[in-house]
Amino acid sequence: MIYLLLAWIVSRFFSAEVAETFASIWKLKSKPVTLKKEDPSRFSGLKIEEKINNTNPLVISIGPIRAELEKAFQRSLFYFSNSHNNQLRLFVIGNTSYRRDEHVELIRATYQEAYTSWEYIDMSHSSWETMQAEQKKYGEYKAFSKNTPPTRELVTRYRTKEFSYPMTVYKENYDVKLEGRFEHPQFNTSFSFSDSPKNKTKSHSVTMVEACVYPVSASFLNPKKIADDSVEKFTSKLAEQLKEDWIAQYCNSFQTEAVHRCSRAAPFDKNVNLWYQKYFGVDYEDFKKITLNHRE
Amino acid sequence: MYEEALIKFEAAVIKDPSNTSAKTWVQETRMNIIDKGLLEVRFLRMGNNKKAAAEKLENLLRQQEKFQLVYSAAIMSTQEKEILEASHYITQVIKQAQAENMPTAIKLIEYNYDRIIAAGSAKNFLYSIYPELQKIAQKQYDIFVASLDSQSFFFCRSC
Repeated sequence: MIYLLLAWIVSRFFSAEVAETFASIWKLKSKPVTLKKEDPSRFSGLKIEEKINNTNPLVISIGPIRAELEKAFQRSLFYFSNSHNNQLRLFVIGNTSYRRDEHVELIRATYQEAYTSWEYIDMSHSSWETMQAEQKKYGEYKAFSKNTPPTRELVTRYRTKEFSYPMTVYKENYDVKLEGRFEHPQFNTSFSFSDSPKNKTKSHSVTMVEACVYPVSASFLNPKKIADDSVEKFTSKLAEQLKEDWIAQYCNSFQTEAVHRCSRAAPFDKNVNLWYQKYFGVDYEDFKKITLNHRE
Repeated sequence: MYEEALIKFEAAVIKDPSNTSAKTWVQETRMNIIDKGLLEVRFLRMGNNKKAAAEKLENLLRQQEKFQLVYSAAIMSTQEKEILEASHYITQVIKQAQAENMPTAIKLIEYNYDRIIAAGSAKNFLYSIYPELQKIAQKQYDIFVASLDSQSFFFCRSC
């Protein structure tokens, strides 16, 4: 198997910072650590080459992706403003699409319609309770008996009615796929993000108060929010990937500069704590605690 | 238990600052926290768990700063006794770190127990050894910086 051997001389910026901190904790006479102006292992920014196919650019547009990726990079450990001519090339490829299907459905609604009708009430077969109720209603003087002729009354009745109305049903389907690839021998990793937000919504303009049917307007997904969320998540993937790459590059070594670089991304790393215990007699987190307290 | 009660009484005072009975309860509960805490410190120390006793005492002293209470003579006397005992323990720990030539470890002890150190005899001991610690730290610093200048650090992937 052919092993690819790649090496860079890395300036001791992070070790120098620790030396400075140590000197200030003990109020020591500090000696300047010779540092190169530039650090070839870090970059002043990203050189993004973007190729995102937008099937429906009017609906979803990953517009601010460059600015967001650049901002995320500047927050990463790989960023060093002094590395003027050293930019990290990043290819961003992907595609976004949007599809909306709609069809009309006939919705059946029912409601109760009231109507009145004259009805004969035959009291002769009424139960004793019904007769008593009737007696209360018409007065005591009107006594009922089995010989009472049938009475005619106006009665309210209800019948179930049905009506149909058209409803438009929309089905939305967004698709966002983004992939980032570093073009630099220091990095051999890529990162990606994909999401397919779906939505089903309905609308109609029919009003039927009796059936409690009122117009409904469709509630569509917000394409701007989807675009913003996708950019945000892809950006956080970049940040995670940069951190992983940093750890992969510096956390497997016991060299002083590597240890100090590693400590910034993985403060609980075994090598980091071993180094701090060996040289200062405390863990890295404890050293940081002392430093912060000293600054206060 | 007292901590939970204190949260509720303090919330009552925030809700109604004119509630004098709630204010009294806040003060009494705070006093109980300190009193009970000192008792725990004593038990831990008597159980020969000096590290836990010192940590508990440090926390109590930090709490006291926030509480701003006037303590009874009994509480003051117990506290002074515990500070004295904890100071002995801290002095021993500092001496141990000093023997190992680890000045930064002593800085950590100073950070972890700064209230006890400030209130007790460990302060004088620490001040007395400070110049020596600084000399050791200077040596460590010089070695560290010299090693940085001599070192060629290479980053290597797949080596």
